[in-house]
Amino acid sequence: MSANITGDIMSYSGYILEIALLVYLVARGYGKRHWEVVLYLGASVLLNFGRFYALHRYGLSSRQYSLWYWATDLGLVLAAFVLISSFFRRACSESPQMWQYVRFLLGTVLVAIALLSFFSLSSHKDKFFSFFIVEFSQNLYFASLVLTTLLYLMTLRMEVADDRLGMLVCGLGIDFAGPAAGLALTYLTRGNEIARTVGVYFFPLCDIGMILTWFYAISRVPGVEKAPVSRLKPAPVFAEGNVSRF
Amino acid sequence: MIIAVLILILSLALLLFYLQTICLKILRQEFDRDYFLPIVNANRLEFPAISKAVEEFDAPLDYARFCMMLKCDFLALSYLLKNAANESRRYTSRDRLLILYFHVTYFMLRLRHLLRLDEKLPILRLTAILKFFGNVVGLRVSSANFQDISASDYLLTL
Repeated sequence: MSANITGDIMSYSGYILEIALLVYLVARGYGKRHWEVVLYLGASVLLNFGRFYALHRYGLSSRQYSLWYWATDLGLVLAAFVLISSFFRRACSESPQMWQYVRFLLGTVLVAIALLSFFSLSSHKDKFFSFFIVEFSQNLYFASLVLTTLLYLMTLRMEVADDRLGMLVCGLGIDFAGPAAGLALTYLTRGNEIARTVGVYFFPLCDIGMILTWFYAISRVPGVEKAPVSRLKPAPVFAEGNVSRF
Repeated sequence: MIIAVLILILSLALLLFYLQTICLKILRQEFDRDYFLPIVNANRLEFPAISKAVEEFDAPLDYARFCMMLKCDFLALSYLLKNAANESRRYTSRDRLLILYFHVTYFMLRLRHLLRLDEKLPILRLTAILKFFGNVVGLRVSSANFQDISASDYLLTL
């Protein structure tokens, strides 16, 4: 079986799993609770359909398809940013003051990335399809990976009781770490055969890894709503006499 | 160029970190009782003894013996995982991930032994994986319905 066919099978498996998870979330009534995951998966499915359309309409080596591919990639990273922000919001649900600070930080990061992207893209307009776009995407994925890792560390530090959130964050980490490493390798090797092979197998594998982790998190790991945080019960009446009130 | 190398190294390190965290989170899953005990007794598995020896007694580790015991328990449990009360007779994605994790941790144990580093942590991880497999097999066996099937019926379905 040639590398291209294997890569295609893996890519299509990833897309099918994405649709299956989306349907599972909606059919099982998790849509409202995990709206951010539904939004991200919905955006991913729509953008991938767009990619297929562009591929069939213009062909693999066309300029239009390349433009559409990288634009949808940017769209996916933006959708992921919304997802990470909502995970931060969920992690800070017990601490509104922390959320105020994190919200400001996330806003600043978004504005900084948008400004840097705008100036960077506009100054490299002429050589957009060179390795500039690979480097640009690599930086975007790495920035998302750093944000995801900060989120994970925050859930550890704040001892967030939501195990499902931790698992969802780990899945997202795989989906960012793999492409960031793959794009860095592509940039370093200037797109030679090794990097191309890594791209064909590794990117879809990371996608599949993330979706399977999310499937496991949603279907098997109890969320915070099923594992309520235990609170201290008031002392029984007979015990109150022994407690001195200062 | 340097930034790309840094991104490559850090991303790969974080990828491995997240994969390990997922495995550890799966292993932390709680079962309502110790389903692994009947499986351990029926198959004379030795990993609980290894775990106890490493955790409770600060004695020097019998590396070669422990490695053999862990490997044998792994072979028995991975067979049971695939064949005992499992209608599809296939590993799930979770089982495959943990089997891979077992192999990687076993490799790390051998590496640490070669480098003369502390071997307790990988041994405890390996016993935790085996305990999880035992719990999964025990849970499957306890929830399987064998009431209407005789031994010969069961063998004919194999």
